[in-house]
Amino acid sequence: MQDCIEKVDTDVLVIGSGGAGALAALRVSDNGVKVLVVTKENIRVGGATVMAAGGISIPYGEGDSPEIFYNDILRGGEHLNDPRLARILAEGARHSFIDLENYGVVLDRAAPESYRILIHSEGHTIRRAYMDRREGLGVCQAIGRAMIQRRIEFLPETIITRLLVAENTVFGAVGYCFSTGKILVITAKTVILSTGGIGQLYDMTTNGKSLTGDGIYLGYEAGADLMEMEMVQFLPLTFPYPAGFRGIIIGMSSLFGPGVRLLNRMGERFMERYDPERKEFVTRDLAARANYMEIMSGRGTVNNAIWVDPTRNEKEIMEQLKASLPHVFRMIEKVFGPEAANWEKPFEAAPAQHFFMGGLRIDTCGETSVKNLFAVGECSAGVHGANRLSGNALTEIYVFGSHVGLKAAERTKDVKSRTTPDGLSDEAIADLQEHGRCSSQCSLPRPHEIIAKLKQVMEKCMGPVRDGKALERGAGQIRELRDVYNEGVCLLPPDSLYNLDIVRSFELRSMLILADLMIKAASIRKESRGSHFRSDFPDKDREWQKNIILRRGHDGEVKIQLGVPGQ
Amino acid sequence: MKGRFIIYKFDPRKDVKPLPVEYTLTIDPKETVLMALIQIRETLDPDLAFRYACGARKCGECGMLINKKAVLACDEQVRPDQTVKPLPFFPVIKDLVVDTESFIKKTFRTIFDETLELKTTDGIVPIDLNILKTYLEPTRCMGCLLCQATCPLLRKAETGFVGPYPLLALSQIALDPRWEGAFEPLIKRMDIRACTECGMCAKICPQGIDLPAFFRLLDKRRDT
Repeated sequence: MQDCIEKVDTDVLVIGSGGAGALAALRVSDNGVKVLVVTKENIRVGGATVMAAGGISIPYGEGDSPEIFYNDILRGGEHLNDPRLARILAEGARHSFIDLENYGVVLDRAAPESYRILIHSEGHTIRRAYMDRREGLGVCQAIGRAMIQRRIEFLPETIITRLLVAENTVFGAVGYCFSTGKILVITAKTVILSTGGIGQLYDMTTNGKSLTGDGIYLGYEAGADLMEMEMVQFLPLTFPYPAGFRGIIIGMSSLFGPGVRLLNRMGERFMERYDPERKEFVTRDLAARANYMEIMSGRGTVNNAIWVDPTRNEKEIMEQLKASLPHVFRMIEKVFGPEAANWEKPFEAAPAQHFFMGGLRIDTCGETSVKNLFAVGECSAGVHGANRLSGNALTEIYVFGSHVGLKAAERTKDVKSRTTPDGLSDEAIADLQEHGRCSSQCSLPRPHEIIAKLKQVMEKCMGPVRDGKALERGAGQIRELRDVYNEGVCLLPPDSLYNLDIVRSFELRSMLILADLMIKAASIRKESRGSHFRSDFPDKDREWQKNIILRRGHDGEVKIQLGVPGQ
Repeated sequence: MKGRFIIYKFDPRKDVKPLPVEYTLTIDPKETVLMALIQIRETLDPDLAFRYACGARKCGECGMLINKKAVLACDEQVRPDQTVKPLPFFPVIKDLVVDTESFIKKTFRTIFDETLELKTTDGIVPIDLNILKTYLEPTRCMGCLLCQATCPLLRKAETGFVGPYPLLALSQIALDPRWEGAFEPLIKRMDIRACTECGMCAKICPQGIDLPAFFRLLDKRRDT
């Protein structure tokens, strides 16, 4: 890497620019505090937010209330949630929609004065899913332009590699801007992590390529507590092939009519074994688990998938469903042909990772256990507990984006001007320069080769069904991959402009640490709860209504602690 | 399938002009060009730079010129012979990566340089369902800029036409009556009437937005 170092000074540094980071930055700016947003992507509002396709929970429907919503969130999370955070979500949801409109978003409407709340999603006691005909894009577009209007500083195509921390207080961060090839040293009074989830640790994921858990890793390395690292949500039906479509959401079984059947390789309607009552219409967790079990037990198709057979439906229903989700049917036609898209032939589908409930432990202000270091959105933990209800991911970022932005702005005003301790950034800069130097030794593996292996390990041991033996084996394999990585990777080309191998290498470093922590947490939780299912401990255990909290000790070892939710 | 890709590479620090490089690889014919590029980077040429994020035609980051057509690489199927170039009209950072961010920033800054103000409220603003589409449709834009790269008027430098993207950006704000301010001079300055309504931008839009329809609405507003 070139020794070109650029110094940047700001008040609030936001790392990651999906909806959570963007909304936090807007709120900071509206409180008269200077803010800089850095993101690995190029667009202002990207991440998982721009990919969001489903509903958004909002307790605006008739007969609904924040209290009913709150109780649903806790029940969905099987009471591992921090009830204080769940309450902020439930009570802030209505106003977060008004806030969005005040940033210039026009939300979709069912009537002139009511939002388009159409669907009663699983796990909610009442109809509260807002469906936007633009999906996630309408919101992203408008809040992106609101950022430009406020002249919020924006630094795209930059990966943060280290937080600057002394005496358990954050002072800024160091990173690599790959579109300029420069090393950046950023000083800030407060830092907000909003880097999203960990989807890229899996081979099959609905998440985009930036979701590598960077913020969770950065916080952990800085000494912040993590929790719920075992809680990973999966969706039952996504495209299994070709590679360009892998993990793209197909939807729930219900999208393929009341007569839909899920079949394994032998043509067996396997859901009759898992849930003879509801069969294909079980919740997404159970469906994902069943599909995964069939594939892992060798009853899947050659493409590691199961069959979705919609052929026994009335055609009229198909036309209705096609009209509401045209792009899904268009992709089905592209991949499986027109007969499959017309329900004349079954097609293949496989489960994929979708959402991460775990991450940085935060208090009611969104602050982590490191002073002045905040976290918001999917990289934070506690709101959803052991499982997230459908539609609550976007509600979370709408509510907490603004909430944490406000708290960070207030804190920033309290931080007296100060000098960054001498030499604090030296090691982080050296770390980056080191990455530039270990280039081009072709006998070493390239980062993507190790990442591919890590994904396979995670699929096998951290999927919708886990057991002690597989977890132990997985932990060993991750340790081996870490040893390989630590011996050095080949980073090509030996140049710092747009060097994606350098970016992948830092992402891989995060992923190796997080994979280990996730497997650790899943091994410790010897029960099944929410999204965490252990075939060797299939029942819920009341004793386990506890959070598993992981922290990096001074010796580099993982410190494990059990906590009571909300305390 | 054997795929032959001719990719124009360019490093502005040392190259005078883009140079075509040929790559041949075996690839599933159902695969996207984005996957072919990933495969090339991982197995044939680690130096190849291109940009992508979601891989699912949602984010608009992987716009490029494939066989002379502006498309999203994640939405374009591989074919036996394909020529890949960066989107025209934007400065090349490296190879297929262009600086679109500066253009988007400049576009909205030009708009917000006028005194514009959004009326804020404490409740739901009533909106007539008949005109709701006017608000929703332009904001389905993902900012991929394929329209800007395709507009034939922009190839004729002397027209001074701003292009379809800035006009769509303006319509996202100007057609929303919650915004107050002097839109008329802005609309005049952007010279909507230079647009010949050839419809190329609407045809190329991955979101299927009928851009000229909104230019016409803007033009109406200019006269009111």
